Amino acid sequence: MNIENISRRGFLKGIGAGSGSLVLSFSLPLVAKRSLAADTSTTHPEITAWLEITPQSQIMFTAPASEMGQGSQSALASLFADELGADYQQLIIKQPVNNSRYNNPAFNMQITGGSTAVRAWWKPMREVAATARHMLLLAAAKKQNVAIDKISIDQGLVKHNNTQQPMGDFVALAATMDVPKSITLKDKKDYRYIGKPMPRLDAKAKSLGTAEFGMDVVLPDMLVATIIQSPIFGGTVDSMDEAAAKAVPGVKSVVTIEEGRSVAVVANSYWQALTGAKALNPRFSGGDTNGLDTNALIDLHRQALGENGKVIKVEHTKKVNKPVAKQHQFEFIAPYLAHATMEPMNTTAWVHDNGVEVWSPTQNQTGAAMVAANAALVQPDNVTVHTTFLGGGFGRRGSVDYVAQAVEIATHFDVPVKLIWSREQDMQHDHYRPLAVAQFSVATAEDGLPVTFDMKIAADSAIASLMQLPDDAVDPSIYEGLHDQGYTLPGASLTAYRVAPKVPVSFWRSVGHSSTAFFLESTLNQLAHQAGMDPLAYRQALLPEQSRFAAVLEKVAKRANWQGAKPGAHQGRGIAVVKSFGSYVAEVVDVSLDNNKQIRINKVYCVVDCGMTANPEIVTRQMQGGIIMGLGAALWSRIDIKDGAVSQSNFHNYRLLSMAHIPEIVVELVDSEEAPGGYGEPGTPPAMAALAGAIGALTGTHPVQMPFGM
Amino acid sequence: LTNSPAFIIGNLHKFAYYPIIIPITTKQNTKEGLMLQHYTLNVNGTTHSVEVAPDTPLLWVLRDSLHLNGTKFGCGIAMCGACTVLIDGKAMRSCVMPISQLGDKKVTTIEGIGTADTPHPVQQAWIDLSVPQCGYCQSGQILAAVDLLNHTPTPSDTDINQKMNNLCRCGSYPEIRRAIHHAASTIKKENTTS
Repeated sequence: MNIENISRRGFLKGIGAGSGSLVLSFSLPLVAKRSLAADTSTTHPEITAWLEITPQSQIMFTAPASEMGQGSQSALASLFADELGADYQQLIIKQPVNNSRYNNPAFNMQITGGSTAVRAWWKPMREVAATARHMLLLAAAKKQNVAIDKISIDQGLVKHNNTQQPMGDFVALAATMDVPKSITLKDKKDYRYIGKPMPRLDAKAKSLGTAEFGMDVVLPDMLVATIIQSPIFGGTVDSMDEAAAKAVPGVKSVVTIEEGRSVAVVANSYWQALTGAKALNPRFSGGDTNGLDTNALIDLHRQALGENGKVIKVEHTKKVNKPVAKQHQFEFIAPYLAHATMEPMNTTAWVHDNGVEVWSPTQNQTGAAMVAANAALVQPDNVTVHTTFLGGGFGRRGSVDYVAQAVEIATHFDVPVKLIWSREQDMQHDHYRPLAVAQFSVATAEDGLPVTFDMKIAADSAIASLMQLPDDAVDPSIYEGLHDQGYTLPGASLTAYRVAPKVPVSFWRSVGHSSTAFFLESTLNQLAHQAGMDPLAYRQALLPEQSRFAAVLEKVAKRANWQGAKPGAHQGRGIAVVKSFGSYVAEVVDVSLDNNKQIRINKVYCVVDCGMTANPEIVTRQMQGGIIMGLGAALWSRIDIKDGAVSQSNFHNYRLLSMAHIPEIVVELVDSEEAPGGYGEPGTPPAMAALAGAIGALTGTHPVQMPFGM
Repeated sequence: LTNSPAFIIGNLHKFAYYPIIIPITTKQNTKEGLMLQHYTLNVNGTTHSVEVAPDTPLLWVLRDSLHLNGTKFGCGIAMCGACTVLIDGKAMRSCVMPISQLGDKKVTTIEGIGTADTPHPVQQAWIDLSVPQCGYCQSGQILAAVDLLNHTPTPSDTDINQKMNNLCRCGSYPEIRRAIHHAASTIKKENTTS
């Protein structure tokens, strides 16, 4: 493949200061377009290059995506190493700082989310590497005085006839070469790493305990802060016992921030800060959610369904002229959910004469730089955001509330301050997966298949929350999964309603699909049940035969040896197929009742078609992890609001699955030539939906509200 | 009240799905409880002196005083296990172990079981199978597995279910299980050859 090269405008190359390295840094044309967000690029002298190859043949590669467990940095390294001709295992991955050069091509801002890392960078990442390879080839040809097509680069070695030399021997000369006008990307048959199950490059540091998470940042003279936020969202502090807090040895200061909505205690160490915070005992009043509880919130969503919503076009529908035999009404509810990342929210900030430095486990470098600039009253280009490893993200760290807090606290000190949230603060001040209520009205014909299929859904919006859009803005994060599935639903209609009750919300692994897959697939389960049809056959009756939906569904049914939803006494099976984030995933979940009449999940089959993959093993792990997160949430998880505040506070009342609950999970990848799809999130929605089907088959009662257990 | 750490820790036995026993009696929030005191502790074979309040959990002594940051803070109430260390060889939750109760017991952290050049067989199994996703819980998982294998050299899946109750939000459980079996066979081979 011969392609136009990356914009030569803004292409910088050079010899690394004093090191004789080849350094390449440039903006990609699609990224260089006017950015969605302000340019928040740092002017920090720290290298903001894509890659640096030293004369010693060390290759430093800046991963543009945050690493939160989803394996994106290793997957991108596969793309990069293959096109450069580097030895994958020898790549040194550098965490990104804030720079518009690393803007996610899918969003035009520097943010990791939407399962976009591999699909958005699939081509640009390889172009960067191929450009460097071409310059090294030019240099090697010139130095050895041979034709360029006689030279190859593989596993870090420049090869000509029977001789081979390390890449580093040519970097000084390569740095003087013109940037090529066009480059050639490798053919698929020549891939050494792409599509192969390469080990993760961060496994060793994470197994030795040396990987640096945000929590682990240590700087000279650093202080540690912890925070108490108003339990009722938006409330402000009335009174507190500042003297008692300051009497705790090691406590330096009490700082009221966010216009009184939060109070931070700053000390020499976390335990001192936490002890101080307990002694401080701040009392808050007022707040946006004052008086609300879960039932009132559900009613608020129900009321919205009766008002004026936004009509959304359903992609696949048709008119059928069959007489209506039966009317069906369904209502489904999905609760607020916490992300509960293992690493509680934290950020270290240092406000000094030359600007602001931030060390943060963030998914959103653009947002982090913007709020830091705002909090410290500096220009965004005076903010440097150092990204650390993220102890889980799942969407939570796309919000930058904790970054703004850390910087605001740090403005009161000359030294760096690390803000650490307690688990209780993390659980009660998450930005939650929105509560959603859906009402479906379906008319079926004598054959049990739909004639009309009317869907209404009310929820808050993660997108509107992140982008600070008006309270009545309606967007796909509310209804995705209802308008864009593969089923041809006769007479389908969809109306979406926004509810914005000021409980903070954001993206939770698979976003809208984490509710809508359950809503839609459960409707099909109930319709199949009432029609006396097998849930698989019912789905196949609504799916075009030649589709990626039908293909994964058929494959998973075959893999699971599907013989119906009720394979035996005290057993149930559920099946679901969902497209999300560009990938098609079908799953079968097997459940049974254990001796204590508790639901036990025994086995999960998963077939995924996510197009071409950078690293199929990482895809498999993400499917497993996504399935486990989905099953746990659907079975046990709920965030309740009582008197305007969150009831749950820690893992004793926000249960997660642990080892003893994990079913055997079988994952099969479809060998696909399609464009790469996402894989961090698409495993989750069908797991929730198939579990609902399995419980319905097991108990005879189809669940209509998550969570199903407890 | 039911959300206070003291209540939760006092009632942990009621949360049957997390079979943990934790010692906890401190003088928290009394004047004596707050005063800084000198303690010496043995971590990874080295003796350290620290000056902290008696109720300071071992976790925060390790992290904030000794900068041994491989041990992680997850929940503060002994539920998640991210803070797991070995105390006299036994896997314990360091977030609820007050320094005043440690005495002369020997502490082993993730930094103390292996190095980059010579990882512990359990760490090596974790590396070989690329177990970690976000990785935040894995120090604790690894130390829990070390304790398990010390007492049960060839654990069954049921043994693993019973002993491995550390939480992993990424859902790396299937690989943790595989890696424990993998490490068990490596250790067995090493013991036969040596």
